[in-house]
Amino acid sequence: MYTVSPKEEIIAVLSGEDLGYFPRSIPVFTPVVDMMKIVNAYFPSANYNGQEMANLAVCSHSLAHWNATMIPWASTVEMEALGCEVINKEEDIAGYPQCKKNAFDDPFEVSIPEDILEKGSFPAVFEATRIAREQLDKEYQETIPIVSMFQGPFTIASYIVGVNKMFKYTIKDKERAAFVLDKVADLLIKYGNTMLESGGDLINMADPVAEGLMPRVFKDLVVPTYRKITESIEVKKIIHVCGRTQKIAPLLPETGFDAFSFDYPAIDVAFLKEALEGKMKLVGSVPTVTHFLEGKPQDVIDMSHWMIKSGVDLLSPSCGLPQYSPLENVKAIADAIEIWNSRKN
Amino acid sequence: MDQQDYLDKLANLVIEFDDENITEACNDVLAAGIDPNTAILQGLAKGMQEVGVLYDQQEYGIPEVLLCADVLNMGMEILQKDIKKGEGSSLGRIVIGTVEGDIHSIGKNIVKLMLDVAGFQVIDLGEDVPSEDIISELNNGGADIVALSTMMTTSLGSMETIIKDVRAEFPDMKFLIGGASVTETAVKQFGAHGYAKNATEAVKVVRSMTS
Repeated sequence: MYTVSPKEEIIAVLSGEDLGYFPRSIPVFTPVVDMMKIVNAYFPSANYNGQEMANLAVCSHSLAHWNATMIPWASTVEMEALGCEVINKEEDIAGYPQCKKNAFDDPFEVSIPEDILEKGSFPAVFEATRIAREQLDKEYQETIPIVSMFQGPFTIASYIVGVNKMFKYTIKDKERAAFVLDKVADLLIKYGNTMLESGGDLINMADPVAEGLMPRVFKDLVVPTYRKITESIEVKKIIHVCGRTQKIAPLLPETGFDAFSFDYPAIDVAFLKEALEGKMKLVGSVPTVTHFLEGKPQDVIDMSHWMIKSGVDLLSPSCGLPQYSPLENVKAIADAIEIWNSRKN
Repeated sequence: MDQQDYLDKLANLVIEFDDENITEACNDVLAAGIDPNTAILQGLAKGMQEVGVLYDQQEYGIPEVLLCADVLNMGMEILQKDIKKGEGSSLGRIVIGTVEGDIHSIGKNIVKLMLDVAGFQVIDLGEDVPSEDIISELNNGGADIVALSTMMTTSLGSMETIIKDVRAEFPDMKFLIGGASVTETAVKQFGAHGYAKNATEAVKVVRSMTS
């Protein structure tokens, strides 16, 4: 039934090709505790150690059959390297690092050091990508794509100068807001391309804090920053923004991203189909808490099928997987694609 | 200008986040002999409630809400100077916080603000709040409702623990929960009394829980 590999499928679909069946890659992956137990790699260590990060990344396909993986998962990689105070609780094996204190008081102070990619967990991300690439290629004959993930410029800018301050600058001091966004965009171009050189196949940029913006600010400040990034990274690119994105979604086709990974039920597929006018592909969106964490495998399968019927181009969780989601629920989304394709043929 | 004009002006300055004219407008209100409590509730707070509606309708984003809140606070500072201690009355006392293990604050702060302007006394314990801090606050000043927020699914367990711990000491305490990872299922599972998806809903739920 399948004519090409999952890696070729995802690139073909994001390029607008029709495969005649539903693509198998699930491109938004974060590990769950059931996987951590099996490969003996836990947070917080696995967010800082390349080998452990790679071991968990490979689980996406070896344990859950997702036909893709994504690296990294912590939302603080860029902020920590830029000097934000980040907290980790050693005893919390599932907890992600959280950004506690901003790095700069004034956006005009923000500068990106030449050696930035040697700081924080950047080297671990590159190492994990190299190891996972090698292992996946060896075990699955170069069929499994790696999605390289980074945080979006508005989210990083907000945390490095202070979230409330950044929000206010977008209206009261656009010059400061634009300055820090531009600096962060330079970093992301460098970071994204280095991840790709390390073995990534495509990009997923998550910019959750941008959900709080209204269209005028988004268009004036954020869209040009996104364009700068997308124009400097050659591969296929997905953007993820969680929450209620009804107001900014119609502007996303101007950003240069190929697909929008959306957060259902905060925003509906039918609305997006109309708002994006077919100019972007849709990735999503099985709800993380109600289905992966609280639901049963059949709930995940039913919702996956509903998403496919509604017209998504690639299937994925609506956001990062809740870490205590049972592995059987995580597997169910991949099962759903196999069931769908087998019924269709 | 009659009293209503003064009050409408305060409300509009909050809605338009006009930090340049709010000080003068508040001084004018006092000079006109308008009761400062009335000016806060029917002027500034009324404006902020409208801001909450605009946010829910996605006409305003978080930057606008934050700037409106700044203008509200500037106005409150001037008007409150003229309120004699004990003159203001509260609809109820709410202890609020983001649960232990989570340091996200934006959503919780907006809920706090909207409860504040709706006339509740809100004690904000901040973020990463453990059971002990809540119990200690309740021992000091009591509360009608404990409101807990979390954005992260990994902190749901901590929310459940806090409810259990607080209930052990205060069996009749009511709990309102919310945040991106909280669902109706969690409300049932944790034995909470109310759930709100957003700040405006939180005010409605708190009103019904305290009436």
